[in-house]
Amino acid sequence: MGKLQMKRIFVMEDRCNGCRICELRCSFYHDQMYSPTLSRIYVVKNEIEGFTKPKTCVICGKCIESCPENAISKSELTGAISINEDQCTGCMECVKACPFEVMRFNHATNKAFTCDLCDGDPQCVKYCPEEALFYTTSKEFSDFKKKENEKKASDKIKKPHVIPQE
Amino acid sequence: MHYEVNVYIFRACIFITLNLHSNKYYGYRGQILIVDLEGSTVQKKPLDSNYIEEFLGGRGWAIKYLYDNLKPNVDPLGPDNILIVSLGPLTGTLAPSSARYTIAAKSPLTGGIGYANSGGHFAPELAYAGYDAIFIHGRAKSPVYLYIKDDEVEIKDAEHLWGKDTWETDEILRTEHSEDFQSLCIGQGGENLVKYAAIINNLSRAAARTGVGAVMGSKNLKAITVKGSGAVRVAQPKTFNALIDETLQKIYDDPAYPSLSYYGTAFLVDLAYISGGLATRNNQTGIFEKYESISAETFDEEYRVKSESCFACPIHCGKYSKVEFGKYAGTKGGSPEFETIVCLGSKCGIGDLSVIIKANELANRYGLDTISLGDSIAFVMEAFQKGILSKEDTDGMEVVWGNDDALISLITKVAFREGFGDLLAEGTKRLSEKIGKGSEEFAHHIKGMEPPAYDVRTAKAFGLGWATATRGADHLAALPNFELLGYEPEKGLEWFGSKDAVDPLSCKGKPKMVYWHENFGAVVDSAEMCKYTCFSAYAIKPEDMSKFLIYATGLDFSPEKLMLIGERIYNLERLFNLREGKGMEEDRLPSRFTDEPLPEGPSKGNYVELDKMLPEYYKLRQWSTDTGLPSVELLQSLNLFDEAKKYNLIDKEE
Repeated sequence: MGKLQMKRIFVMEDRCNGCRICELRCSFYHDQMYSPTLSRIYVVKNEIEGFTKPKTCVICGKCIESCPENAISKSELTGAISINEDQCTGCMECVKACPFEVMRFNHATNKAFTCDLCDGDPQCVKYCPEEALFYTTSKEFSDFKKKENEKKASDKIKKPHVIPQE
Repeated sequence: MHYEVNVYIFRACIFITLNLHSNKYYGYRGQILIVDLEGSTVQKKPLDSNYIEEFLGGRGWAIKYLYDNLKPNVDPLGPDNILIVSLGPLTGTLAPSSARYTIAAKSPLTGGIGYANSGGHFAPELAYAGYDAIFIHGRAKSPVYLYIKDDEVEIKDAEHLWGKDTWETDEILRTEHSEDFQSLCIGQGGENLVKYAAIINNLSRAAARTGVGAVMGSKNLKAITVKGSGAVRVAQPKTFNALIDETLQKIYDDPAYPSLSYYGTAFLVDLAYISGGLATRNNQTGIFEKYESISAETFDEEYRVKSESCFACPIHCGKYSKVEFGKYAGTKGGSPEFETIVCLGSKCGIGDLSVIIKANELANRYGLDTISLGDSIAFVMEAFQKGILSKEDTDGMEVVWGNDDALISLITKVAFREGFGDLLAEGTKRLSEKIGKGSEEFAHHIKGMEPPAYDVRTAKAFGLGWATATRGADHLAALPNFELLGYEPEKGLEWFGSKDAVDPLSCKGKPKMVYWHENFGAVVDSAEMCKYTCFSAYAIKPEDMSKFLIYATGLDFSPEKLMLIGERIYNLERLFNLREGKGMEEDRLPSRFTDEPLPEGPSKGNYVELDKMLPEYYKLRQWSTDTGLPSVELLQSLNLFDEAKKYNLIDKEE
């Protein structure tokens, strides 16, 4: 892949309303079950301050360095973190090493797991009802954010009519 | 059958595990908790398949358990009452707006069936911990809370939480256990047995009606805190998810979706105003002169910050708001809903959203039902207007229309039962009985519970629905939004047998409309889906609900079977009330709505022709128009004959 910029998931925090549909889409895609515990993405909140933030892997690579079994690498296809389950011994070194608390652990299987970008079609991004998640390159995301910030506040949200229109 | 029976005995610390449990169900978790606060024990039991077959979940299970386990005439605030938390077969799945739960008990406000429903993030957490319902008996000797972390269930000491408001309690529990615990709790309102105390989760989500918070307080139960790390499985995962995608499109296509999603229920203030039904000064009129300052537009421009969604909800009508300027600057949190804006606003002559946001924050922190609270204060204000009460009665306060200082101060007095607040904490009915002097005339309640926001003189099906609702003045039992949505007359004919059914001011077709909505509403509340999904866009009709439930559970829930379950639930609630001596004489509206036509505005001259609609409704229900008692045939078809016979609640003429 060389120097080609890989895509990853970016978050517009102020758009997130904390519905956690991303968590359910994630666990369903991977395990055909609904379980925030099995989700690779999760939403942290402070309800008093009205703060919500989805957290997921930013592909910093700290887990790769930390793994004593060399079980973690980057996927050739997407650049996502890839864990070789046969090699993973459940030592949790990667969980401790992850600076963003997004290396997760399945106690039932005794294996670590994290975002695999759904092989290039991340379900959380696809189904976020508020378009708070983006699957893009850092360059494109920073350009997008710049444009958003330049917009006047009033242009950002298209306000509907109060009275429903047919 | 292999199932798990775990018995935890607090203090003695005995932990016995018999069999290992594996869930044989889909959708359902297959396990319930029976908590005895008196003996400090928790039992895990398998879910009774009859409960699933005949009562579905949530609200259905609540009435079934209360009817079978509660003796008539128990003191609602005594140790014999039972508090129930129940989920549905869709809880924890991705089904739209399925994060709701029911809390039920005999109501201290009405003396009849009491239940309330709330969203947020509590219900799915309890589902992921592996439970379908919690049945709580007895009274703890000192304050306790229930701690649930997957298989670990413990009754813990809550001495340090007693006296704290709901926000403080939530924060302490998150600090003590972990950020990802979800809690429901009472504030000072429930502790002090305010008759309309609410149970709060996620700071601003209220299971508010019928005083379930007071029942929790009477049990010395401060909170239930849960962390679940399991999963919910459905029977046909791919088909279920495809149905969700199809339903989402229907929800997004609903003309009301953009308003409800962006403004939240505040947009109903504008709808009510346009129809001339924005309840003002204890419903003396439907036109509020300060309407603009409590409208959705003002809310959006001055206070709305962002949406705050319940779990797995595509609508996210909840809003987070902040007051930046003025006397109440710094107030923040979940926004007041339409009901709150009206009951603590226009009904009290308050035309300032910052006051209403502050009042709402206090009600959430103390754990009070904003509808009953606002209505009780509006009643006092009318008593002041009529010279029946004066400031000598109200601790020196001029409780007059629009006095925000009095409103704010009374809320605290109610929560702590201080001075006049002690009387106000009893609700409008008891308060007016105490005051007398003709105040009963404008003491608005049905079966003892205060009415919601919309003035039903502009919406006749809603009027009938208030009168017949089992828990008292209640817009949600029927929620016949059909009459408000501007449908073509043909649709009225098709659905409810009259072209005029689409006209909110007409009585035609309304008994059938209410009958259908009440039955299907009981299904929705038992599946624990939000009524906004089912009764706003009508995106989920019985045939759609049937699909959701079949794909989720793998069990046979045909549309016909579901409607029968709904009718069964409704009738068992009715039998519960009849057993408590609450019969057809209480299917009434306050006289203001039946005898005083609206004095002005677009619906001027309208009142609710209840006596025109009620007999037809009774006929549809197969209840006697003379005694209000159900017929033998009905009871047999619903499999409720024995339940009725045991207490002589069958119509003799049949």
